[in-house]
Amino acid sequence: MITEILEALFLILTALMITYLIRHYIFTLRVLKNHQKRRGSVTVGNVTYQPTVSILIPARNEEKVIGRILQRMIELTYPKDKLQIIVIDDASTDSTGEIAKQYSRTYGYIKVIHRNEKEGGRGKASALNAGFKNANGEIVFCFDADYYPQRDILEKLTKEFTDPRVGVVQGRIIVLNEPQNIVTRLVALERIGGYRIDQQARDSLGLITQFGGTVGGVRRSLLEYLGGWEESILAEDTELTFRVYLAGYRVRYVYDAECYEEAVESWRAYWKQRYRWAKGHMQCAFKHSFKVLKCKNLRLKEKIDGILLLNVYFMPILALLSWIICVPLFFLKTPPWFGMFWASIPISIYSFVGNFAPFFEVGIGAYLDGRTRAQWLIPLLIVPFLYNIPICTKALIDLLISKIFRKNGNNWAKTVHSGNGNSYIMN
Amino acid sequence: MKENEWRIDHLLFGFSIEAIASYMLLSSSFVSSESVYMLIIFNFLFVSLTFPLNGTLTRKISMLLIGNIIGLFWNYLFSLFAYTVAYYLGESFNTLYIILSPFINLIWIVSFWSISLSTLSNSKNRKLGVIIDN
Amino acid sequence: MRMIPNLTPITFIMLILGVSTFIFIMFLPALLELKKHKDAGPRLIMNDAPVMQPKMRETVLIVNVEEEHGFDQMLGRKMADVMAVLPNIEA
Repeated sequence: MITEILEALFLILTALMITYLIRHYIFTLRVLKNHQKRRGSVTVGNVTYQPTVSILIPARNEEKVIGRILQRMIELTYPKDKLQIIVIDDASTDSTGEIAKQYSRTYGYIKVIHRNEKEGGRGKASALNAGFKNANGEIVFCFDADYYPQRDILEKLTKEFTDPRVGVVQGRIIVLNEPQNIVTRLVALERIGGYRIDQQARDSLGLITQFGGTVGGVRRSLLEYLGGWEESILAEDTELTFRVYLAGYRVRYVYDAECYEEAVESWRAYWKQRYRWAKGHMQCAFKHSFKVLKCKNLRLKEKIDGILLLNVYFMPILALLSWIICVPLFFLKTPPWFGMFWASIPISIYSFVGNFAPFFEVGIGAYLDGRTRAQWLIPLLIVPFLYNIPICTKALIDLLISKIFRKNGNNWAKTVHSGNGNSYIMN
Repeated sequence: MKENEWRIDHLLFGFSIEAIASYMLLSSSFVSSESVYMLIIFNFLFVSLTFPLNGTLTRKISMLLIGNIIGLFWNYLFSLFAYTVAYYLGESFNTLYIILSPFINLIWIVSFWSISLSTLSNSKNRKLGVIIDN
Repeated sequence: MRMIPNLTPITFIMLILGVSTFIFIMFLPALLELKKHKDAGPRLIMNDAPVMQPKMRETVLIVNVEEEHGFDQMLGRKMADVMAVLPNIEA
């Protein structure tokens, strides 16, 4: 009886992992085949579509990087009479607010909202909602304080809104401080796989493209209809993504709208960031999985991809579980098909890392980017995978505890930015 | 030739070779079943993700062949190691072999595939007259 | 299992060394790249900035891989070398 149960469990878990593998394999082939094709510029009549735009920059203790992004905002090529930049100084205890204020004194289109200790420090979603109340642009963009975009990024992103079905746009993120140390280099590889292949494939296949919470924009009317960002969920970006799709709109990924980010530089910071992502993602899975399955606005392939995307952070835990199950299964009875399925599990080990891009997505992404040596580091992706197992496990346990005991366990652990990325900018 | 042209001809040729190799592996009694499956997976991934890329067919076939030789050598070495460990330290270490072998098998697949991809990237960039590395 | 050599303690030690060496060799390229990285670094976000910049030699970690612009890196580096010895007229 026990053997049969273990066999069934092992089969189900392996089938799940193989499903994710096939999905990512299809993504890789899709991008590899089609990456030469470019979407043409979209214009409305003879006039380039240029709506009014508000950029929200939530910042809490970002004195080392806030100046850099604000300087970059000034350099954007988007017409300044259609641009509004709102910095939300979220109860900072350093000079973030003062630096932002200096810019707002010089440039009329930059506004700073100061939140004190009582109202601030409650997470990014709360800060964005505060900024949104003051936004008057037709499109509302978000940029994290450590980001450094292309000068013409807004033109590239806004043109997608000429399609009335598009509710949200998302650009590509590239790690700026990649050469810093092993952590930044591995995170950069994850980003390459996630954005160069995963996002691009999902967009071109008409699946669920994810809004990353930064380097992206939302229609103001849609955001008002949806009631802004959900403050009870740690992954407010994923949560918004699914509400957008459930409302019948789409997220469009614009791969050539690029922005640098400053990646985490230590394993401790990696833990905090991924713990937040994992827990937030799991919160979204509990909230939206059933709705996705029932939604009439989604096609079957979107439903399937949506469920896989929502539950991806459970997979490192399930991979570990399947590994544990095989031990008693081996002693009790080794089924004839055991070897075949067991051989596929390790591939999953290199599949569930970071943005959950398998090693072949990362490799092909680096190839398409013209990188020649970054691929040599791919075997080291085993380290973040193994690290993600306890991260995801703890996130799940904490989430279940907070649900059972009805505790609010949403502690927003802010990623600390060192400003080391400044030295890599070629200006 | 266009940059990043999708080499369907190489891909089809690669799949043919892979089919023959897989048949030979499955028929072989020298290689354990887990290792056969790993080699088949390696061949499939290598052919489908590397053969369509830029680069000469000779280079790709050579890399595929080297990969299979490495895989077979590793299979022999690790099986021998597991057998010897079980001989000296007891049968329960077979469990360790079952648990670890696919995992360690994957390390060589990922390493070899990554290096191969890097080689193809170099040849692609050399063709375009772009020198990336210092 | 066929082709099994004599199982002596020396064989055992040799096998342990062999397996360890193989695993080390598999990770060797990654360790080499970490120790002495020759990778060009992240993509340069293509701005409407001048194609050749005097600072290019100093910031060798960032490389332009926007191949559709047909940028010849060899030519760029030669010109950067020349410009490096010219006086900085922007100062």
